[in-house]
Amino acid sequence: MTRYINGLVFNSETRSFENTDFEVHGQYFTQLNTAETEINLHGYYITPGFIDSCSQIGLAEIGIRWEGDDSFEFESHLQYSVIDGIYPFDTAFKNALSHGITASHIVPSPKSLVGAKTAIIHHTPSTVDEMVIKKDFGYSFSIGQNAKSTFFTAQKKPLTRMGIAKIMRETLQQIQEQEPLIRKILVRAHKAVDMELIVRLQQEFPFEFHIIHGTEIPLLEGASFNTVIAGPTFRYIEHNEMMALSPKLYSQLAAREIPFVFCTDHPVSSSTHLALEACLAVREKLPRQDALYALTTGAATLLGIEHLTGSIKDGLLADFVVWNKHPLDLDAKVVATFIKGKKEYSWEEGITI
Amino acid sequence: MIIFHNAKFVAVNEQNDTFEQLWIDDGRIVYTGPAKEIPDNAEKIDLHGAFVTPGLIDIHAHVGTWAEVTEDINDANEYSEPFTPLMHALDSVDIRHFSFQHALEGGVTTVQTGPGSANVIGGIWSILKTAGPTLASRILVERSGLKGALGENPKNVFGNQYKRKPMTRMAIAQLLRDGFQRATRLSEEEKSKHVKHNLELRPFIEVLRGEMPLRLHCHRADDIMTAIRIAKEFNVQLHLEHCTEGHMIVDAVKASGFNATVGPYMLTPSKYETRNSTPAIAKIFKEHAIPFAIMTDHPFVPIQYLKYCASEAIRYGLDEETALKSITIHAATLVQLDHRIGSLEIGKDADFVVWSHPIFETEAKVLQTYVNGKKYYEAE
Repeated sequence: MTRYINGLVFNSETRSFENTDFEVHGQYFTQLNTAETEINLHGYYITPGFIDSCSQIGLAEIGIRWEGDDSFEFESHLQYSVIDGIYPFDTAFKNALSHGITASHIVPSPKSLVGAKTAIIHHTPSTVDEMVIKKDFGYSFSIGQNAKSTFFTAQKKPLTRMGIAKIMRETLQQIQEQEPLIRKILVRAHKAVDMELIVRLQQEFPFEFHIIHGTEIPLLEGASFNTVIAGPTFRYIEHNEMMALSPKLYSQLAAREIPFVFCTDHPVSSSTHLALEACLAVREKLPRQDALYALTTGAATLLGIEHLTGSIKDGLLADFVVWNKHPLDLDAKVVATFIKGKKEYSWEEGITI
Repeated sequence: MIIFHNAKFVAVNEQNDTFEQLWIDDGRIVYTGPAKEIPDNAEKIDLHGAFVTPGLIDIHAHVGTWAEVTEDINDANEYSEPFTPLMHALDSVDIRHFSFQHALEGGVTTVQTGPGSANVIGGIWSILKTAGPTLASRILVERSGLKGALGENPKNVFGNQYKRKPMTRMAIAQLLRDGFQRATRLSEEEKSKHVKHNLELRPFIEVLRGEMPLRLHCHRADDIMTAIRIAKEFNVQLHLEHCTEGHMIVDAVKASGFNATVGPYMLTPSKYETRNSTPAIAKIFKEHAIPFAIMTDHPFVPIQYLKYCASEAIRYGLDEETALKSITIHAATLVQLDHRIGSLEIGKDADFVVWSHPIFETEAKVLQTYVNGKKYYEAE
C-alpha cells in the first residue's frame, strides 16, 4: 500500500527507463490506487531485482572451506536436490542484496558430471522452503575438463569425453523415466567439442538443453542453442578449456542471435559482480538496455518465473532495486533492495526509501 | 621524436593537469602541455579524441610466475620448505607467459611480481615492465622486497597438509624472527660475505640495512599486528600486503606508519581469514591518510581487471582521483619509482594507455598500450 513516484523505472517491454509511478500492495505490484503512503524516488533509477542465472550461493558458503561446501557429491544420484544443501544465513546473501540481486538459480559445482536438481530461490534469509521460488527446475551436468579432472584426481577410472557422453545419455534416459516433471537440462561446458555433444543430445532427447558458460560457442558455426547462461568472464582462467574466456562472448552471442543471460557462478565470481559482468558486456558493445533486460526479465523468462518476478508489472512480486545512478555505471550503488514488497537492504540506516 | 595529439591526456600529477600534446623521445616524456608547433622531423600520431592515462601499475601480482592453466609447472611457491629466502622472482618469471599480454590488454605497464604466500619466507620480489624483448630489458628493480606470509596459508600448507612446522601462528612468527635474529648476530664481515655470495641470510641483511622492505602477506587483524610488531622489533621497513582486516584496526595501522597494498577484495572470500574483505577499505584508508595502492594479486583477480578493482573502490566511496592514483602514481611512490613511472610528466618513462572513454566509464576500453614509448598492444 505504498506508491513510489517520480522514479526512472525500467520498462521491460520497451527496455528503457521511463518516468513512471508504481504501487506495491503487500507482496505485489498493483495499480489499485489505494496507496496510503507515497515515496518520492526522484533522481533514482529503479530496476526489477537482478537474477543470477547460475550461482552456488548458500550451497558453497563464503569465508569457510569444506564445512560450508555442499556443492559437490562424488557419487551421483538422481534424487539429489540443491534445496537440501542451501544455508540461508551465508553472508553472501547479504552481499548479493546490497548489489541488487534478489534471486538466484542454484546449480551444483562444476566438479559434478551428474549434478542435482536445481532450484530458484529468493535472497530472503529465512528457511529454504520460504526462499524457494521454484524447485526441481532442471537437472544439472558438467562436461569436459572439470568432470574429467574430478574423476582422474580420485583415480575412479580414466574418463574420456566418450565416457562422459555415455554417462550423460544413461542419466538422461533415467531422468526421462523417473523424473517426468523435469524438462530442462543445464550443462556446464566451455569447449566447442563439448557443445557439439549438446547439439547431438538436443536431437536425441526431448529435453530443453541450456548451456552454462559457453566460452567457445563463437567457434561453432551455424549451431543453434536455447538461451545460454553465459560467463562469468570476470574470473581467472582455471584450466586449458577456458583460454578463450573473454567478455567479448556476449556481443558475439548477440551477433549470432543466440539468447543469453548473465551469471556469476558465485563463489567462482562473487554474486556482487553480476552487474559488473553486464558492464563488461557493455564495454564490448552490448547495448545497455539489452544487458539490463538479460539481468532481469530475460533471466526470469529463462527460469520460467516471469509470471512471478523479473519485471515491474502489476500482479508480479514486488522485487525491485533503487539505484543512485544508471545501474550499469561502474560506480552505481544500490540505495535499497526490495523483495516481495519488503525492504531487505538499504544503503544507509534511516533512509526513507 | 613522436608527438601524440588530439586526445585528453590526464597527467595524474599533484595539480591534476590535463594537457593536449605528449612528446616522447627515446622512450621518455619530453613535453606535456598545450598544443604547440611541431618540429619537422617529428612523427605525429593522432589519437582521435581518445583519453590517455599513465600506464597502470600493480605492485602485488604474480604475473609470469604463477602457472595459471598448467598447474604442474607452478613456479610461484617453493613448497619444499617454509623458509626459502634465496628464491628470486627473476628465476621463475616467464616473460612469454600470457599474463603479460593480458596485462597490456588491461593497460598495466608495470608489475611487482614474485613468490606467493605458501611460505613464511618465500623469497625476493622484482618490479618489471610488462613488455620488452628480454627479461633484463624489463627489470625496474631486481630486488624490491623480501616476501613473507603470515596466517592461514603457511599453516595450511605445512601444518595442515604436511603435518610439520609451522602449525600455528606462534611458529610462523618464530620462523620470521629467526632470520632477522641470526642476521643481527653476524659480524660485519660475515654480513658482507652473505650479501656477496647470496647466502641464506642475505635478504634479511638487506632488509636490516634498509635496502629493501619486508613485504608481509597479512589478512587478519592479528597477523597485521604481528607483522607490525616484528618489523618494529628489528627496526625494519615493512609493507603490509593485503591488509584485509586493516579497516577494523585502522588506528593501529595508521600508528605503525607503514604502507599497505590492499586487495584482492574483488574475490569471493574463499577462506576464513578473508571473510571480512571489503572494497570499502580503500576509502577508509584514504580518510585516515594511510598510503595505499590497489592490487589484483593476479591470477586471483586477472591482471587485465586492475582498473575494475579501482572502480569498485569508487562504488564503495573512494573518490575517482585517489582511485586512479592508487593504480598509478601512488603505487609508484610506494615502491619508490615515482621518479620514473606513475604519471605523465617530463622526464618519466613513456608508459601510457589510450582509452576509448574516460577510464572509469563502463564503456572505457583500452585501445592502445605503450611501454617505454613503444606500442605493445592495440585493440582489434
